[in-house]
Amino acid sequence: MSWSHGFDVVVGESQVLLNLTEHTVSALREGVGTLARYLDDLPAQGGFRDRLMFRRDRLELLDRLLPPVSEYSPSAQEFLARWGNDLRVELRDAARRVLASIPDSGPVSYPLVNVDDWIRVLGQARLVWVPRGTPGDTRSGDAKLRNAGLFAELQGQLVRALRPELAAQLTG
Amino acid sequence: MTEFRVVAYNDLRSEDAVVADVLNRVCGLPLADAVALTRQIEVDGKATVGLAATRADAEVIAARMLGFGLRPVIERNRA
Repeated sequence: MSWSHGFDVVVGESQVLLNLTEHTVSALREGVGTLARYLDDLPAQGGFRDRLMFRRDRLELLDRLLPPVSEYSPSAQEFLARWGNDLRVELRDAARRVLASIPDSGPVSYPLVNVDDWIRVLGQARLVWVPRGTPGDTRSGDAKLRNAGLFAELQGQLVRALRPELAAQLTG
Repeated sequence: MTEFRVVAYNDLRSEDAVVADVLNRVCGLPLADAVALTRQIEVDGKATVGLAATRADAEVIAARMLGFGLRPVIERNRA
C-alpha cells in the first residue's frame, strides 16, 4: 500500500481506501446525489412548478455534460443521438455506485478495478455547481465554487495516488 | 488517410495528472505523448489528440474523452 500526498487516498492491491472528512462526505452526497438524480430518466416529482424547474435544471446539466463535439450542428446532433444516452447512463450508474460506497462512518473502500467510477464522477459532478470553463476554488466564499474546487482536488489526488509515475513525469 | 482529427479542451479545468491519465489510459496514447499533449493543452488551451480515417472512428475517441469530462471537438482535416 502507498499513501498519496494528501494522506487521504490509500491504494492497495485490489482496493482503494479513501479517508474523507465529514465535510467532504456531505459535499459528495449533495453533488453526486444531484448528478445521479438529474441523469435518471424518471419523471420529475412534485407540483407543476417543481417539475418545470427540475426539467429546466436537468436540461441545463445535460448541456454541460454533453457539449457539442462539432462546430457543424447536424454532426453534433448526430453524435448526441448515437452516444448521448449511453454516456448519460454510464455516468448515472457510476454516480449511483459511488454514492452507495460512501459509508456513514469510516473510509470508503472501493474495488481498484472500478476506480474509474470515482475519477469520472469527481470530474463531472463539478458541472452540477459550475459551467465548463469555470475553475473551482477551495478558498472561495461561494459554496458552489468551493465544492467544485474540492472535487477537482480530490480527483487529482486520486489519480496521482493511482499513478505516481505520471505525476513524476508531469513535475519532472 | 486521416480525414478527421479530435481536438481536446480541458474546460473542466481538471488537474494535469487527470488529463494525462485520460489521454494515456482512456484514449490509448503513449505516456510520453499524453504528457506532452497535456502540457500543450495547458499552454494553448487545446491540442489535437487523435486522428481518424472516418467520422465514426473519431466519435469513438470523442465519446471516451467525454466520458471522463475532457471536451472533444471533431474537425475535418483540410490538408
